Amino acid sequence: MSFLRSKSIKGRILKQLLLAIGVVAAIFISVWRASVEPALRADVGRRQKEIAQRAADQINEFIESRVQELGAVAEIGRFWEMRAEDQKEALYRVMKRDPQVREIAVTDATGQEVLRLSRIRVFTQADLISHAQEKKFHQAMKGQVYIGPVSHGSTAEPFITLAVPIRFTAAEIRGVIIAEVSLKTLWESVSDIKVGRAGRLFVVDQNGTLIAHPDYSKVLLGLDLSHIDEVEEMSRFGGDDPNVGAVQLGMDGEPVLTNHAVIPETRWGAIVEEPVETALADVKQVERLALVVFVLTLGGALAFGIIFSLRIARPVRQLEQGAKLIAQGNLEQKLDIRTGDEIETLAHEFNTMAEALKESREGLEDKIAERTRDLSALYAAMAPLASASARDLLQQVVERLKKATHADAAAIRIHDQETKSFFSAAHIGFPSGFIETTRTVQEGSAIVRAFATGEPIIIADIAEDPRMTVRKQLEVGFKSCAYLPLKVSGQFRGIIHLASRESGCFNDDKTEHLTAVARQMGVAMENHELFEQSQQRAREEAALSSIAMAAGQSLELDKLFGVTLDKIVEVTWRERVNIRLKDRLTGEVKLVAYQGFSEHEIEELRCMTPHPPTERVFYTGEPVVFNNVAEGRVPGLLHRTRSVAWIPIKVESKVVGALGVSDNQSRPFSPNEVRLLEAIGSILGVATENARLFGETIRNLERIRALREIDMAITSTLNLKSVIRVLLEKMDLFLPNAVVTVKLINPSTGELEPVACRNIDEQTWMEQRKNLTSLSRIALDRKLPVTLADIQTDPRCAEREFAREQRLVSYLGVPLVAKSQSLGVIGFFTRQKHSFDDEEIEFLHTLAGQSAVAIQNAQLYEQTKQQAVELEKANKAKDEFLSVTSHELRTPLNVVLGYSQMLKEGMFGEIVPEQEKALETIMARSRDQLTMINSVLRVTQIEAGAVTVDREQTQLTEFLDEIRSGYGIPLEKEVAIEWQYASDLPMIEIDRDKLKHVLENLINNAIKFTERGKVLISALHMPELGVLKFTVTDTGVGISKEKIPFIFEMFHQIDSSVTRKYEGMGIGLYIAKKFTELLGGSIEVESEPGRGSRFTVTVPVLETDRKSEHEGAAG
Amino acid sequence: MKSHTFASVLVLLAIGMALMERTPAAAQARPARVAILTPAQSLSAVHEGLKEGLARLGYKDGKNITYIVEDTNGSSSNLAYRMPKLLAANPDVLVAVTTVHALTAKRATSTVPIVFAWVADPVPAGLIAGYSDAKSNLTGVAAIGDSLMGKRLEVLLQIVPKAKRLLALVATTEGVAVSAIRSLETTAKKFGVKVVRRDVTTEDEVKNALRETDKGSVDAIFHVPSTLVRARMDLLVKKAMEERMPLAVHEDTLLDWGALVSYGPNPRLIGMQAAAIVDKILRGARPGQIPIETPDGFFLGINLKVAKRIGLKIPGEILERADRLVE
Repeated sequence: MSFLRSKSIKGRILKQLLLAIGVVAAIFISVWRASVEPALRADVGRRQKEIAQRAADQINEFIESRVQELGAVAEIGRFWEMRAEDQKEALYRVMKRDPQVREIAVTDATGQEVLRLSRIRVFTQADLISHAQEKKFHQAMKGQVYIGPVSHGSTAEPFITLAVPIRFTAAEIRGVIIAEVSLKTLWESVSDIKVGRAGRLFVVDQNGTLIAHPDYSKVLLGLDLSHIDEVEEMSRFGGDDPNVGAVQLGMDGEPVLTNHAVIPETRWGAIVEEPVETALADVKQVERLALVVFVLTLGGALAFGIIFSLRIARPVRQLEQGAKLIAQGNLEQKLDIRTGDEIETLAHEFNTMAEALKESREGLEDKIAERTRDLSALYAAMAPLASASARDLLQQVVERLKKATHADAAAIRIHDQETKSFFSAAHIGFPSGFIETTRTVQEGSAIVRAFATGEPIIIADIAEDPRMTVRKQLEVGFKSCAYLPLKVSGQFRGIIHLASRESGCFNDDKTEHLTAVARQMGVAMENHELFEQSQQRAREEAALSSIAMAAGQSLELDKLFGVTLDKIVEVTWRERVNIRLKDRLTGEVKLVAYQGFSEHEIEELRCMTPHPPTERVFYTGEPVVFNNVAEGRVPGLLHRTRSVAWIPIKVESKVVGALGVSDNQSRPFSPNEVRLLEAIGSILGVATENARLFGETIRNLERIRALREIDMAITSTLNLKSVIRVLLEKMDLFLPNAVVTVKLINPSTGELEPVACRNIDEQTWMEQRKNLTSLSRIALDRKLPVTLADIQTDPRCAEREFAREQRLVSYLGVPLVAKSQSLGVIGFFTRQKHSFDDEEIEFLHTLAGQSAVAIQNAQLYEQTKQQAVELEKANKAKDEFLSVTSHELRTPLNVVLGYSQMLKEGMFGEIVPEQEKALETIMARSRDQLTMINSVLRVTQIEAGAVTVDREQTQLTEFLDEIRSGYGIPLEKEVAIEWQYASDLPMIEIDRDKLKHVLENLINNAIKFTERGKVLISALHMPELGVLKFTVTDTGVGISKEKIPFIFEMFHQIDSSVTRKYEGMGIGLYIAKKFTELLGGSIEVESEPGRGSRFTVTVPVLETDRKSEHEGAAG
Repeated sequence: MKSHTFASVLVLLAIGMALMERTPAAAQARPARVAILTPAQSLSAVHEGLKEGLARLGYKDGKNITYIVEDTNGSSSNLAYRMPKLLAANPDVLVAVTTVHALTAKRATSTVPIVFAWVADPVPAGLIAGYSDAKSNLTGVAAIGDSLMGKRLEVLLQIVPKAKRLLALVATTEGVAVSAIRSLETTAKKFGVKVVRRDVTTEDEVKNALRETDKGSVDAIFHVPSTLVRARMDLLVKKAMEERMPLAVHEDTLLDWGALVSYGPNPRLIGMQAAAIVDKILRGARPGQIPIETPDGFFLGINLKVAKRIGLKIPGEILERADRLVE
């Protein structure tokens, strides 16, 4: 959009064009909004009215036709003349003709129904009712047709009630026909009416209640729409809509275009509404098209504007370019513009002006050309210098200089500050010896003045010029000369001296030319110096990079030091270099690398400990530099050293060594050189540290690997002897040839006893064990490692004699401690004096800790193994005892039962009632006893894992019936047994005996613990989950919350007091639980003391396929 | 140059807008997918009716509609395992025939629209909470089951007014039969008719019950809907023919087997009714917006051949009312 801000011709044209388009668009939009859109809305309104009217007509016709149909049946006189059967048939015909009529009733003049027919229900005489109090009856009896409100029965189906009078004569009404008519099909066809893209048609009754809508759920909600604008308009204006095309709020509260029609028979309203968005979609479409046309027009106009403005702007720009060329001096260029207008005339004027300028310029050019040639020759002379070539090229330059300035001799003379003289860097044409003899010059001479002022001095005639105080040049035949100051890097460094054998060869006219010569020379020399410096930098960089690379590639310090020393000598040209490093442990500074020293000097250096300059470096962390040392004035230096620098070798801020660089000559160390050496010092520092860390890492890795090997070896076995054997084997890797001894505390005696040893004769060791116990005791008591440097002399060692015999010197005792329990001691004895350092001690301590755990595990394992053997024996004895006892107990009991039964049945003669009662008691008790023994046997089997599951096809209902039959006999207490299970439970595969045992056990328990109330047994098949759920609920004593977790344990009863009241061994629930689990199920209990318990057994079922119970009437 | 670019962008924009205006938003519609969970067998007519109804509404199988049918072949066990296959087909509508199948469908999805058919009463069955549940994904056609037992009895008595004892074989393992006999007994009491109820659980028991019913001890056989008894309809027909007594059934297809009179909804037409609902859903309606329908009609059928064989004269008014006569 930059053209809008541009003041160019093109910009101005485009702006005007856009303004014009904008005005046209504004007018178009105003006209559109004011007239076209309202007309389109009104058109939508009319279309809606037609739709609403069509629906209203359809509804009206539906109701009218039903009323007529009923009216035809109730035709004057005819209905009451028919027999009752014919009346019925006439009404059946109506229902057959019109499926929408669902029920018809006929009343007499009192309102009492005399007949009622339905498609679904059956009505007998007893079902007939009176309508005497109902509006529909009264209205029809007045001779009017009654059309009831829309209602819904038990289903969602809408219907209305119609009632028509049955006239006996024109004046006499003898009864009423009442019909229920379904509106389902009517509403369906009304709902199908399409209203635009997203519109809808719905019907409200005279009260504004929604009775039909495409979304039928809204109708079922009975929405009251009397508040919406269109319904209000309908109740106020009837079928007319005064606001056609106006935007109103619809039934869902959104802006809509709406219209309605009224159904004359019922005063219901058919209302059409459509969201404004979609109703006016066509209008919006046209609007969008208009916008597209507008945008296209705008684009076209802009394109036209651009082309037009370009046609105008191009020749103007050509003129502008032409003017620029003339301003740059290009007068050859002619403007060729043929627009035929004012611009062409202007171009012609430009051409004329350029012609005039060209003529006046040509005179000047001749003069300039001569000067240019001189300068060109000079610059050509200087060309080699500008490329910053080597110093010896100066000679070539001097030669060219001589030629370029037409001189007979030329020299470049550099000023020496110390001697205040000018020596020659290069010269030509001067007689031999002349330059040397004129090196030292007098104060005030022309050359000194030129150098001091920085201004060139041109002497046209040496003989005459008063500025020449010395005229030696005359003596060698030179008559004119020039002194041009040479400025390099902003400083005057010397003079260019030119001389000629002709007087006037150099004059003031040539001042500028010669000054240029001097300046060019200065630049050349500056370049040369820069070149030299950059060469040196490159060498330094290369040296640094080589050293850094050497440091990065290898961790071998000797190699790195070698490279470093070579490179330092190569870059600094110094004679001697050495490196000293401080020992981390001793703090001693050692000479580790050197170059340029004689053997004798090395010896001398080694003796210089401590070395004062190096100490200073370590102390300050800064370089120490002596640039000019008088012999023997600085201690710690070789006598021939004149300049020396010590540079710290640093790791971060810590000095770990020093780098010494020295020279026999007094060659000062420049700051750059010191910085370079410091950088090398830093690299060496990092490399030294890396090498140290690497060494440490390797050592640690070796230890960890060994530790792991030992760990794996000693934890892979639970055998105590193997553990100790492996421990000793691996220990040899760490302390080769050391005597290692292991002593463990005997748990029963508390005494330390020798267990194993290595690298010493076992027998000797065993015999002397008591003697060496003093050392072990020290470690054991402290629970920490103990070292003795020499046990042959240390008074703490009571066995010094033995130590001397066995040549044992240093000792380390490490206690074996696991879970704070001291188990014993490992002792290490070396045969030479050995100082156990911290790392060694810590490592061996760790090792001992691990060994202690393994030893403890091995000891515990031995114990456990022993206990397991004993336990197994005990368990087997118990099982055998239980099994044998149970069998032995059962046999006599069966005999008791058998004989009692025979006695009771009178097989041994008549018995009196008291005897019978006594026999019953004997039998009941015996049966109880038998049950108990059987339970014990079952438990024994379960415990022995000898119980298996035998599944078989079982009809569940029959199965439950079978169990139920066992509880048919009335109980002696007030407990009712209720059963709840469906008669159509499926056929399943299950171990019936076990399931039966579980259920009977639960039922028996429930009965046993319930004194009053009921026991409810229910079974539920849950096919979705694939399970059967049985519940046994009682109203008995219940179980406290704390006891619930234990009731399924063996030999458990609720508590001792209950045990006394309720007999039993407490193994029934244990068996029930085990059996349920065998069936793959679970058993759960909920209970509240005093209120009862509920046991739930859930078992998975494999249902065998069976036929379903759908079919016939709806399934 | 910037001005050129700007102008070009404007022109392109305008052309783009014009093109967008002309491009219809809807892409080519894929064929509608209708999944059907049906017990088939005797109720095949329901889903055949459904397909016929949809064909009449312009749906051509394989072209603009695809059916994924899961036929449970009469079994009502492990229905839930059938659902993943149907739902994996990503159906637009799921049609479930019978209450058990509809309940399974309901449990399996709360998003796919479900249309049920041949369901007794959806509210007590637990299919829907009420008839005005706009958020429900279920709708369909509820057949009126038990109420028609009485109406059927009324029709039978209009044909044989003298009938006083009716033999009813009740499959007690089937919930449908148990609730139907309850309804029948209530109406029978009104008409002063005795229902001779024989409970059966196996086909042998059906045979025995018929054999043990002495000739002349009952005046008609009244079929109580159940899978078990329906499977041996031949025995009922045989018994009715042998003893020359009427047999009343609940659907007119059984007339062809030899029943005398039938009254009830027609499975094929129920299927067609369901088709109309499916069509609405395929056209964008939500199930909650569509009311649950009752059968459009109940059909009275008479087998005149049987009437003739058992020597029965059908009253004229019944013939006039009948929707189907087998001659």
